[in-house]
Amino acid sequence: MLLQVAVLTLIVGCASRSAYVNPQGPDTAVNAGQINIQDFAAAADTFVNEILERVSQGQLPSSRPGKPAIMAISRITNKTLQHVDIDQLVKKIRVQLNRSGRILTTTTLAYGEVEDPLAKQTQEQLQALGKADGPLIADYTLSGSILDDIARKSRMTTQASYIFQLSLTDRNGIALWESEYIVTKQGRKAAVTW
Amino acid sequence: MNLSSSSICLCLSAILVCGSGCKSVNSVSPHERAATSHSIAQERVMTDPFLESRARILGVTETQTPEGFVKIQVELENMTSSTKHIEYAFEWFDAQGNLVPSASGGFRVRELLGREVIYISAISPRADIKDFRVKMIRARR
Repeated sequence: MLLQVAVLTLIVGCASRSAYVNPQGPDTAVNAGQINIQDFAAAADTFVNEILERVSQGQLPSSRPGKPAIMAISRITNKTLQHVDIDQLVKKIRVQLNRSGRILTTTTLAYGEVEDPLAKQTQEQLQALGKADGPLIADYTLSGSILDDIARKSRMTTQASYIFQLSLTDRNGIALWESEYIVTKQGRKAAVTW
Repeated sequence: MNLSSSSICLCLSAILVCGSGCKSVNSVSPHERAATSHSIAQERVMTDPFLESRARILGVTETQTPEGFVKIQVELENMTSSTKHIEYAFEWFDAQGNLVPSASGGFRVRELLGREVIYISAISPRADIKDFRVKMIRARR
């Protein structure tokens, strides 16, 4: 009997504690010391809501009547001390805007290296053959930065604020939409809360 | 005498605890509201009476933008005198009742101070959205 209990305890004790969780659900891990996946999602959600609200009021029109406006991704700077993949924020915004059918993103026009060099090459070849319109000019460009502000609340508790700032600029260089989203978290540094 | 001292001490402790832990919101607004909101009838499914008794839904308003997008605003009141956290998510459905996928439409945390009335809002991801659902849970993080 004792042996059976011991074996059972061993089996239970050795069982894997890993589990799948919904990345959009409430069970994702929260770290005060870093930007978590839900922080990017909340920031992107806020920005998309604001952009779509402007679109729905006709404040972000397309230069091509009846067709969606074109947005290019400009410089989005990571000014935090962490390694942040900007695509975690930008891709979510792009996907949402794409699904709305009102703003599409170009992958052949970018600040620095283009996202899809082969598509750009194809575009240039078609233009050389006279089978494509002139060079693509985006209606809007998306730029911004991510900043952080770390403060100590007490000897054990640290407060971290992550500030997401984005602007949408038109062809005339006027920022037609600008926004800021701040997420603030408190906790022990590097501690995970559930 | 000893009992009286204990009672006073207990009362002072209770006042101290309440004074430090309860931060409720005082608010002021015009007696006659200039804005007119279009409140809609709701079908509520409440599975967490604890949450319902603490975060009460006062109303849901729906507006349609000129381009056809739907904007939803939910008015929520913290029924307690202490700060509470909730998580909420919006779901959107097209004319056929299909759930429209959302890239970033997960649960979002919102803080409610004691007795505070807040508004959570969202705009539909597409112009052909016909229905919506708001889900709320007690914050676990």
